[in-house]
Amino acid sequence: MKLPYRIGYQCESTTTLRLVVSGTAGADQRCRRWMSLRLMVLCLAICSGSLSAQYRAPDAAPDLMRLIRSEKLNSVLPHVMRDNEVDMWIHAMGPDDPLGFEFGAEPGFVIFTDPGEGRIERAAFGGRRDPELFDVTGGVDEIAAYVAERDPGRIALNYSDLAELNTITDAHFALIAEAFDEEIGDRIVSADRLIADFLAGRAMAEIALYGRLLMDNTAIIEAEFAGIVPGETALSDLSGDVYVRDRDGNEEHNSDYVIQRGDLVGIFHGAEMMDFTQHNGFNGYVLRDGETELPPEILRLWDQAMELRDIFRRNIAAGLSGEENLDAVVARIEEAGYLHIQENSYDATADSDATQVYIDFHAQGRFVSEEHAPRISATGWGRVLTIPLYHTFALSYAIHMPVPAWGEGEHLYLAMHDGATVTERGVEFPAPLPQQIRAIR
Amino acid sequence: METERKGTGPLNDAECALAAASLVVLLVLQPSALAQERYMDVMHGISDANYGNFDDYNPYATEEMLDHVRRERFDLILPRVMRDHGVDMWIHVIRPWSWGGTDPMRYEFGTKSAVLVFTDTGDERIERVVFEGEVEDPSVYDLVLGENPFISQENYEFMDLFLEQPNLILESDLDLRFAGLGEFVAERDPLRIAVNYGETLSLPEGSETFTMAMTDGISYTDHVQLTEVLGELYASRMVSAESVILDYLSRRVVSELVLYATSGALRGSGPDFAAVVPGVTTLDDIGASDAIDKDGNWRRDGSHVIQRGDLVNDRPYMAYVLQNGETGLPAHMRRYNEENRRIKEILREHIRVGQTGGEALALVAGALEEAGFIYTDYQEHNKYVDEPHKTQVHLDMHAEGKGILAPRISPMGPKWHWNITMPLFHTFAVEYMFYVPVPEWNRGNNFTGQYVYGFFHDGGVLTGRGMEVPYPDRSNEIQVIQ
Repeated sequence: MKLPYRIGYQCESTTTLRLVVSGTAGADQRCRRWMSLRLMVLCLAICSGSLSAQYRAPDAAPDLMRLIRSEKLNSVLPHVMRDNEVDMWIHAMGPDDPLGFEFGAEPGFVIFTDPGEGRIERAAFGGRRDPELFDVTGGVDEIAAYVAERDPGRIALNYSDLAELNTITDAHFALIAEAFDEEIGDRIVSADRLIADFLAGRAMAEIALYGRLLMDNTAIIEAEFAGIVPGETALSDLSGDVYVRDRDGNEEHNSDYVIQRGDLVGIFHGAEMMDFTQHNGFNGYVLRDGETELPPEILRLWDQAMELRDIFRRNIAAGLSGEENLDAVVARIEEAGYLHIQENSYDATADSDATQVYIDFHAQGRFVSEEHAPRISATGWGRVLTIPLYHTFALSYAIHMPVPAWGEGEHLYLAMHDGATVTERGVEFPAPLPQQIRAIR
Repeated sequence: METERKGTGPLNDAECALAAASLVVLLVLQPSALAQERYMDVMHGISDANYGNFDDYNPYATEEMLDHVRRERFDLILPRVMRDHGVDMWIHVIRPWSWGGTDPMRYEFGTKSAVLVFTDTGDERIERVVFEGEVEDPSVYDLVLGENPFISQENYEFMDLFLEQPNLILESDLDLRFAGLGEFVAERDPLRIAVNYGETLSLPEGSETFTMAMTDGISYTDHVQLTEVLGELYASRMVSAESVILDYLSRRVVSELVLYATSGALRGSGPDFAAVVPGVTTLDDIGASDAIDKDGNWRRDGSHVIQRGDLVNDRPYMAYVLQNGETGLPAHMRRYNEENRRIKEILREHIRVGQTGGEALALVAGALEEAGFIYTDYQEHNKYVDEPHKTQVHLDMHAEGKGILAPRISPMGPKWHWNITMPLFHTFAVEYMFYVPVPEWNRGNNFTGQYVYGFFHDGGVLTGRGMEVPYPDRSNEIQVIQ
């Protein structure tokens, strides 16, 4: 195919280079769109905050990794290709490609073809790939004939306006352009949603791994809580994301602040195996002198957290987008008397009687970033993505509960971070959840 | 009998008489007021509760995890099972004198001895009440009435009762377990009350699990007591809980899948075929069970020195020792590997949530025949088939995880094994045997057939997408020893 465009780079900002594509006469709009590539230096904003500690499981067994790759191709791939109405998916492996784990990181092409029903045909051209995973292998020069023989109607290719999903290299791009005539080129669409959906899809072997990592993590968090000595232990002495917020919402986070009696301490911690990551969190209250059990306001805070957990689990459904799910859960919590807030800070102008709730149910597992995975949240591109069946995500929410007895604007803060998945029955929890705020004596 | 169930309410005359009689016996047998503290193992070790191969040697089967599973099952499965079977109330009685014995629900409910009552009040959540008895995790119940002086004799808490009220006289303690249950049930006015007695199903589980009471758990004595306390109206509404129990046992939550997969991943990895030195290494050296030599002779002596051309077995692991000049597997072994892959594809293509075991078996058997195999109901190789050149396949894909084998994709076991519907997250053994003909082995002088025998027993789970593999299979293919 003769390229109907010119390529140049333009500096957009200190962090962004735009690859400018200038169309020539005769290049139609569709062709221009798929040629409009952007290169962006990664500048990931992780809304939930970076984790200062991450447990890496020591036994990323090769047979488990191979099983996950195989199962994703067997169980996830057919659904995401059909959901995205794609007949063929061509993925040119780029450097640091987000699908390096799934397909093998070496440069080259993997091509998936939907025969219409049943199994997706898997082909690999160029680069070393696991022969067990692919039905067809060959050299890069065989791609044109392979594609022409299958004559797909709609072809997804890994270019995108989203830098993180725009992974095709110039060299690979030129190779594809050279290999295809204009008619086939016209059938090409961005694979960005397809890639995001494929990464978001979880085989059962991954669900099992997820549950196992959650339990590993929980053991670590428990040990951290067990080590707290009020008046001696600083937040920075503990592993993970450790924080305390005062009644005015001021937060100490992994600092040298020494934990005091009366503090409500949150610990988040992460665990990963290969690139499959998750983090979860627990809360503890440091009993004051003379207190033998959690005070009433802390118990009320927890009751509200449990009521919200129950509402969330009953009102999240696979098959809806993140936005649609957010609308559904916000409606339910507001019916129950809570106030949804867009940012995770106490809104002093809001109804002072209502507990404020911040929601960011982001994906967990393997993904490009939380931003680019299905997300039930007020932020992130992933809000528009469909929540897939067996989506692994954090039931991550924070509540700001006013305590009028303490004075105007004074409130308690609690952040929850439960590992969850969504099945045909709604939200399920693969591993034990905190059932109470720990009492630290 | 009118009785105050909660706290320390007054006893009527009959209760006083019963309590006193029991007191005499119990005080003699167990004089310590701290008896409960020495019998705290109401649920000592979850394996003791027969949770099956979800928790066998599994470090992730912690008490917290197993309590979590129970909670999830109560939240997600209990309402569906009761409503699917049109049951308003489910009363499950675990007889105390057997310490849970063979009751299949003792893990599910976290007790070895109790009277449990689940009521569908119309809310999303089923009301969960331990009417009598102790449970492992009271927090999953709405009401645990067992924490009162009327708890069962088995738990020695009569001791407390009689220490508190030493003048009580009881003639019998049998009806104490049900005292007040009639009023409790009448308040809820259920139309159909499922109770754990059997009605229509044969109960044997098969050769691979020990016998459990299954759906027939309530004793005659307890049934009589229950009938009496319910009164004529509510006793007439009792129905067998057999379908409720089997359905509850067969369904899974995601956290059970986590346990199932982590258990499966802990299995052994088979012999170290890479260590084989042809002409030197014996079967015993690598822990292999037998070998078939190049002529089809079966070598079962552990001292057999592995030779080139041997097919070394430790099923499901097999490896072939290349002969001089060979660069890969001979044709019949390549056929074995290819047909094994095809069998697995057929299983994956045809098994779905919502089928009964029998329906799935019919579909898979038909597809196997269509693909050129002989499906056989017999586990052994059949020498008397019309087409001996075809590979024979037998299936026994039984349920795994809870000690029951149903639902079951197999011709084996009682009929109800085949008739149960396979639920979401059904965990099952991908167990099959197949026999690939090898005419070249006709020369064998002690080998009773001319085939390569494959046996597999890996794990499967059914999801909304079909059959998936939750943990790595053991060896699927004949490996090559250079």
